[in-house]
Amino acid sequence: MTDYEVRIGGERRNPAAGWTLVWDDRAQGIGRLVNGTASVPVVVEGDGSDWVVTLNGRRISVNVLTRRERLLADSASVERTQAGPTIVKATLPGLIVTVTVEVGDEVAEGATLLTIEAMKMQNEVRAPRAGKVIEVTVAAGQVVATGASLLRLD
Amino acid sequence: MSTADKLNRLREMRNEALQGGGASRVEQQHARGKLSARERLDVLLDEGSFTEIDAFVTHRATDFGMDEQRYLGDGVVSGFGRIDGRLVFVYSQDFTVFGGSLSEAHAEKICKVMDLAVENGAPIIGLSDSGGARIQEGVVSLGGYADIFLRNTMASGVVPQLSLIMGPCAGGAVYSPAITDFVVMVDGTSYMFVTGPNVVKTVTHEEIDFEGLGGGRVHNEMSGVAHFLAAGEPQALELARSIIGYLPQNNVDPAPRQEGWSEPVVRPDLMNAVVPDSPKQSYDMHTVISGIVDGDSFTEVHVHFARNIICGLARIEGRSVGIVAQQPQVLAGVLDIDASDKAARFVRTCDAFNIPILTLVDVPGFLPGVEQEHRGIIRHGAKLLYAYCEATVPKVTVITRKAYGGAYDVMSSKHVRGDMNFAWPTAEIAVMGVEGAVNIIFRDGIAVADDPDAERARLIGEYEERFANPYIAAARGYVDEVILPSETRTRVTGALAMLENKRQSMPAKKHGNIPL
Amino acid sequence: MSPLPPFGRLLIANRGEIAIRIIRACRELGISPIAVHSDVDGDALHVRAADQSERIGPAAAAESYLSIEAVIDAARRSGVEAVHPGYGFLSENPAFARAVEDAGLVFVGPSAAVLEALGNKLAARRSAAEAGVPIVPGTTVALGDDTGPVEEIGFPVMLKAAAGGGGRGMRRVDAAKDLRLAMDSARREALAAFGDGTIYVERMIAPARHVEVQLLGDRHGSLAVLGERDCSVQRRHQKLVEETPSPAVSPKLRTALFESARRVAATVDFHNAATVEFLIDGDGNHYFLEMNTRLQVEHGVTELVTGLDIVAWQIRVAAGEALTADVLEASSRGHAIEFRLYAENPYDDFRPTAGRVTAWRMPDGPGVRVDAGVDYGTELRPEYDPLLAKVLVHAGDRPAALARMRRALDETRVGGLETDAGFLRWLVDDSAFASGDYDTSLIASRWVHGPALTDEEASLASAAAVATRMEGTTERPAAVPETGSNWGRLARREALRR
Repeated sequence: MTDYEVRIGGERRNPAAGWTLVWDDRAQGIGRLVNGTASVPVVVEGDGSDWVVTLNGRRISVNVLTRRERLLADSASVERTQAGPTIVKATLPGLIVTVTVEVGDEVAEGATLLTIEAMKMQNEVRAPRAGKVIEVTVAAGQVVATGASLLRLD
Repeated sequence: MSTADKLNRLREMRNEALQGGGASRVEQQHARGKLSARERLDVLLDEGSFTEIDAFVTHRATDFGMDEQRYLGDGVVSGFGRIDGRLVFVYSQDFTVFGGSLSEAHAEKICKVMDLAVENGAPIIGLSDSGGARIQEGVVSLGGYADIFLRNTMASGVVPQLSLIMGPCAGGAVYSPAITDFVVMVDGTSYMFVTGPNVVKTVTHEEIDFEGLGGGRVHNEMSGVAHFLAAGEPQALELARSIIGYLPQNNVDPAPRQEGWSEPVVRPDLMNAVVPDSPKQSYDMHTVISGIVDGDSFTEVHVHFARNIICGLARIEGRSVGIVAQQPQVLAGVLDIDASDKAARFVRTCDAFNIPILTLVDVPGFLPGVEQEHRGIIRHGAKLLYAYCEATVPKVTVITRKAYGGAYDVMSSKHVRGDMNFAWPTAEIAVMGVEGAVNIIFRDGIAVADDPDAERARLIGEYEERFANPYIAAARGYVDEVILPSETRTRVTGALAMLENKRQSMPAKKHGNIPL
Repeated sequence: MSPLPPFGRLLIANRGEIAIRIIRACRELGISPIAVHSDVDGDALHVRAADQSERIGPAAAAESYLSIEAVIDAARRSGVEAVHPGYGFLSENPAFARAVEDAGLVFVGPSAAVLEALGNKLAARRSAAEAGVPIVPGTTVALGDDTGPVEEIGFPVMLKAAAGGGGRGMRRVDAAKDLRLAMDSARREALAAFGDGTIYVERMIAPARHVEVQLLGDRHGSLAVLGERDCSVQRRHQKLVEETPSPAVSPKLRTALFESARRVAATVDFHNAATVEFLIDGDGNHYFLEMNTRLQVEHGVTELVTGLDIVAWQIRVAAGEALTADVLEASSRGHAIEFRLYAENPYDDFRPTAGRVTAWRMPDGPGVRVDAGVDYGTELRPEYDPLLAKVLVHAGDRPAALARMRRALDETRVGGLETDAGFLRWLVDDSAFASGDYDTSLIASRWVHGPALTDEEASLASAAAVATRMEGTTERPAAVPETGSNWGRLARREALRR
């Protein structure tokens, strides 16, 4: 049997022994924990290692980690699978209205890089992380498709 | 000794083997942001799937007090396991035991799993974290390296080989990863070089640190030795899992087909707007790729090296496909020495492992210049040409815009056995660009005209109208079909399905003589 | 034989649970209910419940549910005879009531003139005082730049917007030094929310109970007083829990409250449904706050104890029917409580949340009523009110009602988004609430961010998560043979060829 490690809010927890889970409605995750005559209603959502259990109306985020997932969770918080410069891409198609940064600018995470007009809305493209702008591949007035690379951050 | 004692002895030995170089050394490894050799395998392989081989092997050296120091396993953990249920053979060097240095016994363990991999037709994944040769063992250690190099070469093109550089990999050791199909390096904690900074300083008086000489960024951006740069060890291991997912078990079996793919990220109608009106304006070829391949299925190889060409693995309707594409955004997508090397290597990797190749062409030609000519653009460009000519896997080509000169021939053209060649209406298949062609063909006419500039403009317009399109090539059958950009995924998918059982052979030969 | 329906078709200018509540009343009266919807509500529960639905604009409420033009247009298109505004949105907007009347349709609510007169809280305060109803000490004229009148009242005070409602433009000020800043920000907020920056001041009554009286009047001068509701459990000056009768109201106080409510109603030419709100201080004195000229969210508790259908009566009196004796002489029986289930996180200052409802099971059984606006699969929009459902119980007395509510909450299962259910489940067992001796500061003083997760809860949640995860995993044997591989087969064929 696989050994799971359970964490709530980063703290290790031991599952209550002697309780079995009985479903009222598996599709909706509605069930009850049963131990002898005791019964606690729960709603369970999630998959993989991330679960949310609703108990007494309270939503509790529970991580159920295999050894592999524990090692992954512990050893890094960085999300990018490939390091190096980050290419900022257009998430929607539209017209570049303004480009607020130039090559060489140091930007903070969340800083506005440029504005794309789409669906009559001015959408600000923000820096996904802090970094230095090393390349700007678009200019104001240009139409871009979804996924078009806009600039690179080192 | 009772049976219970005997069983206990085994339990104790197993436990001892699990300790590696001891808890304190493992702690040091953790402190450096690194995982231990066994933890890496736990992350790399499916939960609980690892079976260890040779856990009780120890070295046989006696000199320099080595007979006093023996560790079960001798600095490398080897065996087999599963990635998404598929068999792989692995070895993981343990830096906590003699700095992961390679002894005779250590090398024998690696060779054993490599032999098993080739016999059983399954990939080999090597995790390097080693200070180098076990100096106490001398020449025996060098022999061990050579045994591994030979096996890497024998296995090349037979089973996929992945190298993950998780720490130092120096001296002769670098040539094992260099022979394998893909090299992944971890940013900041891994480095590769033939001679270290100290030797470099003595010989050439150059001052450089480990990172600057052979760090992950150097090998990903400048040398091209590494194909992937991972932000951390877990990312490197996850990356290895996803690369294996694109590859077949061996050169006989097909690549796995993924069930339940998703639609491309870029919708078909947007594809029609990708190529800008002006031929001088660039666009991002990644957008085109995202409009053809299954949603989020593209894993780019050599992201940071020779960015004027894009190589990568992707899936179309769940089937693996290798993609080679010009990037108009970088150096206008020109072919230079590095781009030719990068793409040639990738084409051959795909061909070796039965992965169809999709080529997206927008190439203005080969890069002109003294430096390129002197460094041998002829020789390097020839590699790409050779690789495409030689490849017998299904080859589908889409010309999105420029396909000029010799570069047109090279890029999986009909003439080098492209199976299905498509062109967008924006394609310009010609010997050279419009302006250049007009200047040569009409040199005399322009010179004597009353207004040379107006005459040139008129001629350019005329030439553009007549030749800067895909229809002349289509009339000759050099292009099988001219398609709307929005139709690209459908057509490419159809072509790949048609070519699924393609059979094409090469004349009998020992091996070709690619111009290396 | 059923009587003739008051109207043939009626437009419900609202969404969510209240639209469904009104649709139910229409069904019982034989009226064809017509819904309206914004672009994101095309498949909403209230749209599916109605006979037909008219699109009134984009998601933003200002361009759809709050657009008089769009709603009147929908009413014209669908050929209705009457319009029910529900609560919120356009329900207390005199311009809307007038536009409905101008379109030759019946507005289910008081006249535009009444909405206007009572919509200005400051004017209503003045009229109430003139009618001899006690009002909270403070100003009866707009507050200027002079801070003198405020300091005369003595701190702490409440600044309020004349055009106010929903807690907006409301500021508690504890000391003179904070006054100037609070006045400015209250004015700004009021101006932004209502287009009118007029504010006034009231003395802070604390501790206080918030009690309201339900009125129902017809067009023939009859007025029914349908008991009081205690709404003292509030966050952000907005109600979460209501009950009737109020545990804080003695028979003597009840008589006084009802009399005051009648007097306030008499200041205008009132008909239809309205609520007169009061504060009650620790000594049992009551003070008029405001009169809401519409259906209240919490009307259900009154319906449970009186057995009347307030919404149906709203429609009937709008059609000109006279209130019958059973309404005018209605008596109340037992105790009713309403808990509002909101998409809000009680552990984070009741911050609204959003998401998709992935699990939805509402309580039922004896004495339980649920008015819900969502269902399994509903995607909650940030543009609109986060009210998911109202859970109401009715029982013989308050302890029995509390026991029933506890049972109902245990039956309630919601997944996919954060709700205030954790707070509600805590409240039903809270000693102050259970005793009935609580005031408007209950949440601030007793809940704050709620109790910490107990070890028992953590270990039970862990057990549930682990059990669910294990269900999905079939233990894979360490060695699965390669199936369908050509590797070995090919080698064997080659070996035999030699």
